Amino acid sequence: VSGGHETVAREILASARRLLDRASTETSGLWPRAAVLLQRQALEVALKTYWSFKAPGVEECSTRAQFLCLGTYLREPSAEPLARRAHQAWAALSRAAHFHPYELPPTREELAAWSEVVMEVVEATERGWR
Amino acid sequence: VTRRAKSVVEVRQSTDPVSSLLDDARAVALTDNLPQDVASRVVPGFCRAAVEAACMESVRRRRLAKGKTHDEVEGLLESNAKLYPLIALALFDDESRTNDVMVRLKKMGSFDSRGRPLAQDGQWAIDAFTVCKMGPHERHEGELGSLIDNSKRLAQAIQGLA
Repeated sequence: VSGGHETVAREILASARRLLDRASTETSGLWPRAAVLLQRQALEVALKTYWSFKAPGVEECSTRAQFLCLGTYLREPSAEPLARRAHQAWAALSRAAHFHPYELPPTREELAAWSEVVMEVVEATERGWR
Repeated sequence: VTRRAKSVVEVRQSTDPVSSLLDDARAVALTDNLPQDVASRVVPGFCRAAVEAACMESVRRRRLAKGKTHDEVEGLLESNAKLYPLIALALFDDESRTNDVMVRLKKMGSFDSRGRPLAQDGQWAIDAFTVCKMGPHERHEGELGSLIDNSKRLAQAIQGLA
């Protein structure tokens, strides 16, 4: 948790969102990769923070295992579908973070959709530990 | 080519992917528009992508010269996308030799600006590789300029492999 009112995961995600929403010559062309990296970190920080409160040690497991556990641990009706979508978003972000010579970077719309999933995970996990 | 909202397209002239990614890393580190925390979280990911691009270039050049088809080479790269097997392919032409990567990096010499060897201590290469491996998942606490410099040297050393 950061020193201010926002959690670290929310701050990272807000930084990613600013890259999507504000065009700037300084970030021209590089903002998709930067946003991908920030969104994935926001998701991973949210998971890590959640496990440190709810089940210390789970954060050491594979990310796939963490998403499977998340569906069970989050005691909410929509937990399992959310965990599945979050895993899909994480996999897509991870693929986009690597270098692919023949692929275009993700579009703003793809990034915005992943951002929404990450925000849902941040909110659900924070409800779990706050 | 990148596409913003309402189909606004941004086009940039680029040289080769390794240089472009390292230029991006430096731009992120230097821009006043981004908080330092953001730069520290993002720069390692650009450095890793640059090292990945260098590995792919080296593997592609070597395998194609041996008569492999583009399909075979791209398939090989796709199935070894993670950094350890990818750099093992680049260094040894063998994706299974991941345990030898650090030993080989340690033997990488230091070079001056004209590529002439200065010493035989590749700790800089190990440091760069280690940050490229784990750095994209967290904030880099070290100095970004030296990370970019060392990643560039590592990428260039890999590009120069026969």
